[in-house]
Amino acid sequence: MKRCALALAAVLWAGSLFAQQGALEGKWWKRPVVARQLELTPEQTAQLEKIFARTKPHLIDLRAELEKKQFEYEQAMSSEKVDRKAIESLIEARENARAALQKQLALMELDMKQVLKPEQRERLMQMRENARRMMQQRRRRLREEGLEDEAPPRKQRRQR
Amino acid sequence: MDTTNDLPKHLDDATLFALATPAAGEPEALPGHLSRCSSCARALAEWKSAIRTLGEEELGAIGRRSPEAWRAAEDATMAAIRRASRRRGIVRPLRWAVGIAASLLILALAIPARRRERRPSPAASASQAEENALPVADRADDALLKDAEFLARGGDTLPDLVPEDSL
Repeated sequence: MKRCALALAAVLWAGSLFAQQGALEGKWWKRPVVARQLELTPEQTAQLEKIFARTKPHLIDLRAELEKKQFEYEQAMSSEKVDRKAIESLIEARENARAALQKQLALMELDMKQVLKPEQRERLMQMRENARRMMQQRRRRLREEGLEDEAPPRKQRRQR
Repeated sequence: MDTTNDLPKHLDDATLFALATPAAGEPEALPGHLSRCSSCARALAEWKSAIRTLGEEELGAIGRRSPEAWRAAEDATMAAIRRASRRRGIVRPLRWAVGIAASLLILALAIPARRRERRPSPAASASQAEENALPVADRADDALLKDAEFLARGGDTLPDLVPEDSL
């Protein structure tokens, strides 16, 4: 029962976090609340959408590639006979796939920033920073309030 | 790697949950226990997977769900957990998933009650929903983009976290 209550708290907490943080992730330019706060014009929204549409096929391929590499790595790690060299190259392949995905996302972000005016860019960064801070505060609160009676203090756990 | 037997205590769900939701772009202090206990490391990966699934929903959208949508969401959560478990060749760690599924149901029951208590005007509710909503046509793309961002951040693996002992 305690576990269920904890899970419920987690779901509620995650829900509210994602309502704040999630609004600034994914297709943020299509969310009415974000578009209004940034004062995006219909032209800007269309341009942002065009950049995403151009990037989308690459994202699909790169995500699939990364998931494939991650799967291969997990398979190799869980096999009876683990070949260190093979694992090394699988990790390298996986991280290369991840880097390619990061690069694509960064380039898309860069193109999108060109569409925004300096004050809109500033506002977006500020909104993201606020959401990040709020998440940190809530996580800290969860740790302080929720874990005090269940887990030993952090210092003790370190010593184990 | 699995030295689970000589480890004193496994991390509880609340700790794992807190670790599974680090602030974007910031390294998270990781209990040293995780580097030695494969069971807890796996549990953390499963939490991340479940939270990722939940994260694709907004709170506003959760409040507007029909009973069918709740069942679908619950099925999707369970499927995601099973997928994550299968990928790691594990059948066992579904015990806490039952808690999550139960929580979703409780939440489904609690929302109408909360709504009755607050009694917002229909116009205000519609306006709030409109504020938070993403057009239906964009939801699949939104999920793709969030997933790509999550994977690019290394959210599917542990190395993006800094062991607490190293701090």
